[in-house]
Amino acid sequence: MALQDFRVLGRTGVNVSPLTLGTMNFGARGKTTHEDGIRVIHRALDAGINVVDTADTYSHGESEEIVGKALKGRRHDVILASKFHNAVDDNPQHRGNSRRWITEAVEGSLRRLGTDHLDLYQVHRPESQTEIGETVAALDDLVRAGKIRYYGTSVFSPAELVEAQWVADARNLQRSSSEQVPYSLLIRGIERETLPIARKYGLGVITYGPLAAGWLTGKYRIGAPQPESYRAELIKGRFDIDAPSNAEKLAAADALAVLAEELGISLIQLSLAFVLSHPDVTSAIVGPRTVEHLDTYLDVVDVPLSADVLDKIDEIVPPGTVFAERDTGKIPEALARPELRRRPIA
Amino acid sequence: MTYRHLGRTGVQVSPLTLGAMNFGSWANPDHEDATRIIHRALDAGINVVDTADVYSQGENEEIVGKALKGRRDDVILASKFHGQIGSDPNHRGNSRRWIFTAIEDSLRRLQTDHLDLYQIHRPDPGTDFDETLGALNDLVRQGKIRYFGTTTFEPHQLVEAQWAADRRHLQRPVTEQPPYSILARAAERATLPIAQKHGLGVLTWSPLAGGWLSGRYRAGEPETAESSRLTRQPHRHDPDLVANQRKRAVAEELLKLADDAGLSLIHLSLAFVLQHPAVSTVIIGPRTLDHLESQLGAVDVTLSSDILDRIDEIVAPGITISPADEGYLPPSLTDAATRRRATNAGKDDH
Repeated sequence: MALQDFRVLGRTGVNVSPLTLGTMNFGARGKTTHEDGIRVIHRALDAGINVVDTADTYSHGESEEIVGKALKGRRHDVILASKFHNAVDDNPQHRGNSRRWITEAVEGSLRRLGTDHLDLYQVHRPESQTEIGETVAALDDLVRAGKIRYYGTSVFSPAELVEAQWVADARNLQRSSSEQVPYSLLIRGIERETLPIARKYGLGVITYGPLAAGWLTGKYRIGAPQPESYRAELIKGRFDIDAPSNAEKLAAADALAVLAEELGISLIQLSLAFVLSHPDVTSAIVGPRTVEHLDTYLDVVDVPLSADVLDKIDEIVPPGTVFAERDTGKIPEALARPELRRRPIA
Repeated sequence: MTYRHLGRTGVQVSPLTLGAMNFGSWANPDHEDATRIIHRALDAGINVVDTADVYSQGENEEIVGKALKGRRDDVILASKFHGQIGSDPNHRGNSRRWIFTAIEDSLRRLQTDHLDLYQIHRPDPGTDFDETLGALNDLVRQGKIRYFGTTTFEPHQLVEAQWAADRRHLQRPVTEQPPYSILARAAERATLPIAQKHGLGVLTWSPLAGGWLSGRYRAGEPETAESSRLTRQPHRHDPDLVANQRKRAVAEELLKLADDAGLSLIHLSLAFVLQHPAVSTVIIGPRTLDHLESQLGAVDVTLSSDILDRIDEIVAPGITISPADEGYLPPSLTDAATRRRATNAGKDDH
């Protein structure tokens, strides 16, 4: 497999590279400057990556602006993907999955990206209060208006994925073409339902977090010092290697690092190769902050894993495993809110 | 007992359902004892009896049929198909061919001309769901069943089944039967919310987690479980497995919580399941009259928010401690080939 071994995105006619460039780290949040961000994007495109993924909320729109600058003159070579849903400011109307917000949000993204259309517009998260049919109909209208070519979802539950397909079918609307989800050696929850659903319904699958937010960089080892991470400051507890709640995950990361050493490859290579080995994964997002980061990913696609290695991985981390609820990208509402699980006392 | 609507059907069900699985050669072979237990349950106000063709390979349905003679019309009678009967490869599964044979066998053993609820015992990934749906709708029109439902389906399959019925203008599945207990809370994640959204009735199974919440197991004490479960479902009961040791430790904590609340662990465990708003009725599976008596009182127990909070601390919402208690693992987890690209077998690979 090479970067140019394109794969079809679901049942669309679009060919995508096995790696997608994720731009969440560009701008103030990830501390990547405009110049560095543009360099990374150009290097990725030159190497054969043809998908760039961003979102309106990454660094409050700055990520989209950097992508827009970098793609000047190269827009048509790229499958450009963005997202809406998260709050872009304090206005309570400037968020969510309503027709009202979607219609406005897409204009902001197009302006920042300096283009007249997106190739893929993704619902960043599900929203139970908004009827899924409203969201699907609004996105279908954007397709007809020529402002987006396809739409997809991100971190939808298996039931929500199926529901969205049938709603579109029942109303004769364009259906969702892709799902974007976390998937890695340490976060295997989507193997159970999401990936089989993608196969059955012909959804493209774009995965993110192949290194499990840094846990698979090779720095998380038993007995090693606490790795430094800018994200650790943003999400307390998730990266603490001494926390008992992270013990099982740390043991697995350590065992996987040993496995990579035995194979003579880096843990990063093992991790990316694993994600790409699943038949229902279309493209894996990598989110480098520097050109050097990017280069460590680019040769990975040439590392195939044997059945023996995949068996060993399954022994270390059984299929379907998730170590921490927050790793799935969204805690189901019914778990977060006790009153939804308790009959009112008469 | 205060009866509850079964989903959006017009049927009222008692909060407890008598699960008959333990009657017959699998557990309690004494037919007269079983009849006494069934009659006691009905006399106490239970109006749902749940069985399946595979339980003791048909003997269980025969016992239920005998016990219900003269009382059939007072009971919501539920059975299931899907499990292997005998050894013929077509005497199992969710095909139209097998469903049409299996229903006749169940009706004959149960000595009745109709079931109130006919349940698909498990998903059958190899069979198009439309085939199953069509066959069950025909049974409804023939008057052989009143409703049909599912058992231990994956959440997305529940949604798919509702839409498939809707698009084809057919009667839809009206119930789901998932495992649910303090030790196996996976249903809270998606199954129970889906049931609420789509108006499915929910009959839960294994409220005592296969006996771990009966109060008989204590950490450090030797295994005293009756051997029938241990030999039939070793993964759920083998005390050497780490997950089962964890269940034992958690059961010990819950026992203390129940003691402090002045409740038996059985009542605590059943009341927990009864209190989820999506649950219509909780299937209890007594093997003896004493088992039944120890469970009936749970319908009068209401757990305070404090106790429910404590339970959430001991076992977090959505968590099932042992995968063996989920009752079903899809091919995507059990068959490695479904997770691997065909190109991964090369000799020169790492």
